[in-house]
Amino acid sequence: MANKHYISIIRLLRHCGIGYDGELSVSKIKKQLNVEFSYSANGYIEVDVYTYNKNNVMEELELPIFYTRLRYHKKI
Amino acid sequence: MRAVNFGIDLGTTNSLIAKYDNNKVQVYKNPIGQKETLASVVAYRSERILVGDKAREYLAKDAMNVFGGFKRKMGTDEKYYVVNLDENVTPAELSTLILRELKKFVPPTENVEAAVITIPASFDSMQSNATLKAGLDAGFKEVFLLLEPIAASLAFFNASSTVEKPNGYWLVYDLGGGTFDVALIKSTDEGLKIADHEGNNFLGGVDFDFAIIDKIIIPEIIRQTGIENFEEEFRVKYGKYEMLYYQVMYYAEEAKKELSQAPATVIEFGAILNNTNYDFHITITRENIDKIFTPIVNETIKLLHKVVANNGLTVSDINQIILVGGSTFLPQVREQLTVQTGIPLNYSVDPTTSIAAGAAFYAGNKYFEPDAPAVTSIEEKIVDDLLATVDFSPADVQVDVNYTNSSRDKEEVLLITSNGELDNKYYRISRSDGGFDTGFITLKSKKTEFLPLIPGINNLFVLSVYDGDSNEITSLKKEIAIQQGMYNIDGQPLPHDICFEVDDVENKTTKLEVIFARNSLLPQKRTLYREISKTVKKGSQDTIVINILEGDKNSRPSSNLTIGCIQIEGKDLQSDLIKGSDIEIQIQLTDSRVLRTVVFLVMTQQEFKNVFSVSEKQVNIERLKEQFIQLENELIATVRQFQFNANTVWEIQAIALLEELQSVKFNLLKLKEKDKSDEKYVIAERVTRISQEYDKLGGNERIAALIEEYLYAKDTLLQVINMADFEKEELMKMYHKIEQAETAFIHSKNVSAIDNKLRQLSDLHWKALSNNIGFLITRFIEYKGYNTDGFKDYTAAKPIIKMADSALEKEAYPEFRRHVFSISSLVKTSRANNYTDFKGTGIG
Repeated sequence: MANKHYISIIRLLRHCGIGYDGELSVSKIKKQLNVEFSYSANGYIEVDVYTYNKNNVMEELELPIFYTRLRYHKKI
Repeated sequence: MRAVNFGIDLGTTNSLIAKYDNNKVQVYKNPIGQKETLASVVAYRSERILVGDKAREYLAKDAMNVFGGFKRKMGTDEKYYVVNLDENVTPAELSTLILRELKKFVPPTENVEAAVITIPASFDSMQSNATLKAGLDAGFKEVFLLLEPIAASLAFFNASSTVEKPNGYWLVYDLGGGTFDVALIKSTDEGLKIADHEGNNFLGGVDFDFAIIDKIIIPEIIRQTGIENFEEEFRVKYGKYEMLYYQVMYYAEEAKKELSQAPATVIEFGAILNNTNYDFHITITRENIDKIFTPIVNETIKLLHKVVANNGLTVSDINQIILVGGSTFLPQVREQLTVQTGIPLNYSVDPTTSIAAGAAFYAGNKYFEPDAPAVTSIEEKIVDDLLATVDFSPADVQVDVNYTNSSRDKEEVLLITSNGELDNKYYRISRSDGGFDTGFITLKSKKTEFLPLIPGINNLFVLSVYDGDSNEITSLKKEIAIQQGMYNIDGQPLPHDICFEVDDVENKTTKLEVIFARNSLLPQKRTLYREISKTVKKGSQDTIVINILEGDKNSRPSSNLTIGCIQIEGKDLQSDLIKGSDIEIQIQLTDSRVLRTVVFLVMTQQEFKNVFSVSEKQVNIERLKEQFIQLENELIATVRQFQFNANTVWEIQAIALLEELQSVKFNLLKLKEKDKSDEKYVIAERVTRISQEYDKLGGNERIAALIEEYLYAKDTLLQVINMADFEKEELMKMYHKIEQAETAFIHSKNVSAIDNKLRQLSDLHWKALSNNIGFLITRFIEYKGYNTDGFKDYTAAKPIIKMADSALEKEAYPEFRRHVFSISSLVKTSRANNYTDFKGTGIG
């Protein structure tokens, strides 16, 4: 999509203290991130110089190849 | 943080307020009259202002001082003149009065500090910001906006009915008093999502009333009185029939309501017309209105089919149509929906209260920072004073919890945030039935816990905090209630594309680049990195313009609404800004669509911040002038095209638009950037409107013709490329690039987008021809036939013509081609280039 430039989700998961090793439940991660986004002041989460917005993060989590992308990002 | 809990349906005809409390929604009643609805009508009497049903009673008696239906005019320049005040009021000011009145529905013991206010899904940023302003002016500390179809969906899915609600697609058909929305909703185990929507802010119940007036009442008055120019006079604002106009509107609405139940009704009223007393008795039957309502209903069904088709669905993929809004009571609406879609209709939600109820559901999960609680009674003050003397809570520890209070899942997450002295502190969470207990867990600055939920009930949990000696710190105790089985919404989608205008230097025009795409969930934030496309000297009058627009990414910039404009002039710069240097543009759009931008010029290390005023319009005059010229040229070309195709109807319409546009040309050209008047806003509005009307000219028929023309041009181009003698591979690449985007712009059904592609095909066609030896020879012979006047510089052209002749004789075609190109650049062209002085935005 034109309105997003991809930023690895790992940084966000680490920032929120959400584990991403071993068996993952996307549904649980979504719940945790949902509550983190609603807790944040403007609806975004800023980690270092990167801004995460809920729309892009949820779209990433809903991708059928999310696990593959996560594995790839863990490697790099 | 405290939950907002209050939801408001700020309707065109009626408004309501509701509250979410303990997993239930309560719609408040007006303490006067005990009705849930408040008529969205304001009456300015000589010494007081009446709001609601009392005001509505004066609609027919004192029309000049009574105002209704102003929701449709929110965010526009429209002002209402109040005779009794001798001043103008705006739609937002009238809405503020409605909101203040609604607050009075709530008992004084409940402090209404924040509210969720609903708006139609198609409201643009100006309209939504005007609503936001009305809410803040009404005294709400914080206002959240919610799209009406989302509110309706929450009300429907969370209603305690026995109707089965399988996962899948649903349509919310919301036909209110003044606006129409249709939203495609996807329900899953996780919750609800707005997949897409369509709407019309000028289509609602009042349009049925206007239809009765136009097609039945006015013709009958003319028939009985013989006043030929009656219709014309009747429509004049503040004209001689002003009073009659509002009376008739009132009777038409009453007749419409009656005809929903009865086969016929009679409108009876008296009026003095041309000094003669008339008594009118007009009989209206269901059959009469069936005919005149059908085109209006068809318009809504057209939008319904569009939203279904745009998402690759058919009517058979839709579970049900959920009917919302007072106008869905009309039998014509229900009949036509059934006949034309075949989708089962669902009227299980109360069309009148569902938007307010849904807004309250949403408000239950929306949080704000409240003011310090006000002490309301002496008793409470005494208790507070006593409590203050007892050290229940060490002042250095604060604990906050965040969670969603409704869920479809078997478990829900709780976020616990703490700060202060956390050493030797513990927390424990238990469920009221004793089925869940975390035991003692060390308190940290941030923790999450998954809470298991019992299906179908309100699950109550308690979080207790303990010190190192296992003593409970009672003041930190939190109660958590989560209703299992209820739907929640992921977030609000953006109703239109948000784009910014960048230079298309090659074509000496500008184009749109998407920042946030339609249907993305709010809030959004993005940083763009671009280059400056022109040098701006320090202290000069040159300007960089950052134009942020709302509308359709496929349309021309002038068809869109400017919602933010930042101008950086030479005088603002600390040093020269060189072409090619970097610019960072950070754009934020909040949940309630407030736009914030931060622009950083890397070269000069300067930052420019803007939070755009909620109702202020943004116009850059130089940019407006260029948009004007571009639109004028396109219209001139279109008029010629219609003339060529002998399409007289479209030609007349295009000429009318061109004339209307040109009528402001003189005023626009004389405008200076520092002009104080409203003229630039008036002209900008007209340019936008004409641009949009030009896009719509000819409707689907013109779009079909353009698509056909595009497909034909594509076939012809392919043949020309295949015959090219040079650069065939390069040409083919360019051809495929255009073809790649084909599905998207054909489906966009946007004239401007298809027109733009046609122009690209035409440019490539000429490029392909200029790589064909046969064509080059023909051109060369043509140039040779020109006399000296045909060239800009014949002395320079003469030796090149000679060299081209020689190259042709030797069959040295690449050399020949080079010479023909050189000659063509020396030929006088009749094509006027209006963009030689193209300034653009300065952003590449």
